[in-house]
Amino acid sequence: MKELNSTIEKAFDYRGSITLELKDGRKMVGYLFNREARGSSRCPEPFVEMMPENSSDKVRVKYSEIAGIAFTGEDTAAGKSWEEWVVKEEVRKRSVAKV
Amino acid sequence: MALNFILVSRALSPYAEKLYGKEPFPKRPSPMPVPISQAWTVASYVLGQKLRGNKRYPLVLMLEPLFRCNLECAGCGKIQYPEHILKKRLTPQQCFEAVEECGAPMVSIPGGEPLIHPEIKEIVEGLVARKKYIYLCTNAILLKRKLDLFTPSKYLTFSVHMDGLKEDHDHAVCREGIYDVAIEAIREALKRGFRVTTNTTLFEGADPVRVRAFFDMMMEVGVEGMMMSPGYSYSKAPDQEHFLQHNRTGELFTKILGNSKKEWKFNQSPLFLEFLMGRQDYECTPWGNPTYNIFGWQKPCYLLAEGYAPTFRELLDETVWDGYGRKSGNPKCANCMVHCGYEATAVDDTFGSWRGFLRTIKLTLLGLNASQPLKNGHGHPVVHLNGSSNGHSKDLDAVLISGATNGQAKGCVGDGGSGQHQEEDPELTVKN
Repeated sequence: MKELNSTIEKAFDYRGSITLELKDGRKMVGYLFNREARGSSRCPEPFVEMMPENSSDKVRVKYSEIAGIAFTGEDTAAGKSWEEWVVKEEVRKRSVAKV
Repeated sequence: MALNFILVSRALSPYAEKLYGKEPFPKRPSPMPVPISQAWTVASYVLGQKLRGNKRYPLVLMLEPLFRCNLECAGCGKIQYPEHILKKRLTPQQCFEAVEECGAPMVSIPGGEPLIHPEIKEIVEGLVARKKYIYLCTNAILLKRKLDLFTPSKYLTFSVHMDGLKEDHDHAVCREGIYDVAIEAIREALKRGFRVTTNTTLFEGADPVRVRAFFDMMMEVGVEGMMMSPGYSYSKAPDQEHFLQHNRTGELFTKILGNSKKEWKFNQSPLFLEFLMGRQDYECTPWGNPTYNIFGWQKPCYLLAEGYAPTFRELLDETVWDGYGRKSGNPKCANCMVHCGYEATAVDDTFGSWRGFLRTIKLTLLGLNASQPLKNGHGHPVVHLNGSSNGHSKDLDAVLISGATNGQAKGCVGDGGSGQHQEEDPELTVKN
């Protein structure tokens, strides 16, 4: 359970799509935008909420239904560091100056 | 009280000039350049909340109809989402329901870039019909082209993102030429009779002299007022090195706002500006600017996305508010002095205590130059208000309380909320 909680936290922080494998064998691909490890007034059991890639609906899945999580989509926040931007900007300015 | 404040402060300025000469307060900024109807609406709303004993109430709804933007600013942590999320957007009906559920008198429409939303016209018209004061936040790339969609109204203000003079702004938004595009759009909007303000985010390394020159420039262009805030260190923003630390924020804003010019107009609470200068020490009011987007009601605030509630009531009731704000010790809040957390505190202070009320009048009449640095034993300017009227001093100017703080789904796969539009053809005309 501890490992599941930890993986769900990572998935919540991940800015890319994930694949949720359910205990009944189904798979869901989408963006995990919410998790309530202690449940809420509406749903006392811990749950995650996703927006599937192929739907506009929000889908709620109980922790107890989850068999596994795979980080299958690109992390959109990765690889865009400030340093990289500065380097790119300097190269661009140098090329403009040459022209 | 509120109406008196507004009317008295506006009425007394010319008399003061007669009494004391042509320029009795030669460096007097005007912190309230908003229509009286707006000031009255906000004042009466806040007082109503106070009279009803509501401890937590929203002041400005941050309505994010989409995350997609046509810029990728290095300091922004709002747009890093997978493509299928960037294609989603709120429908006008969802926007209206959120506005009505929240009840705040003002609605800020950030994003993403709201002018990309194909139904932004309907959204704005619906909010104007509901008599909400709207601040449509835009980078202005599409503004000139889309002005025809809108009708000038006291309820509608274009709040244009401007982070400084040309070089500074283009650097901040990571694209050259955007400053010129924005200035042209601002001039056109003003010419057509729209309300226009600017919003400026300042980061470490900002040059106070250039910021002051930028204020001069914006006043020359003719905007109604300016808003500014230190940047927030979004965990997902590319630039993590240039966010201001708490003590540096006070130093920077003192250099910028000290010896303020009378021509400068700020569309912000003067108490919040004092806070930025380190002359007030407020606690965060994260519920003051609640955020609604395609995921729901964001917990706990506009800047942190630590979860979502399906209703505004559940946001208020189920968020562990004590876990946020500088007093909480939450490291994510330690250096935050952003307006979406602290301006509501300042407004609450104005209408929640005689001290705050009188101080607001004083600063409105005399300008920020009437603000005195407040020193505690460590030379750090502090007045701690603890987010409410508790602990306020009776003394108008000073007090120091050193560092102290006295001062819809049912739960199964397949069910859930519905309904974001899928964006089919976003207008991303200037995207690199």
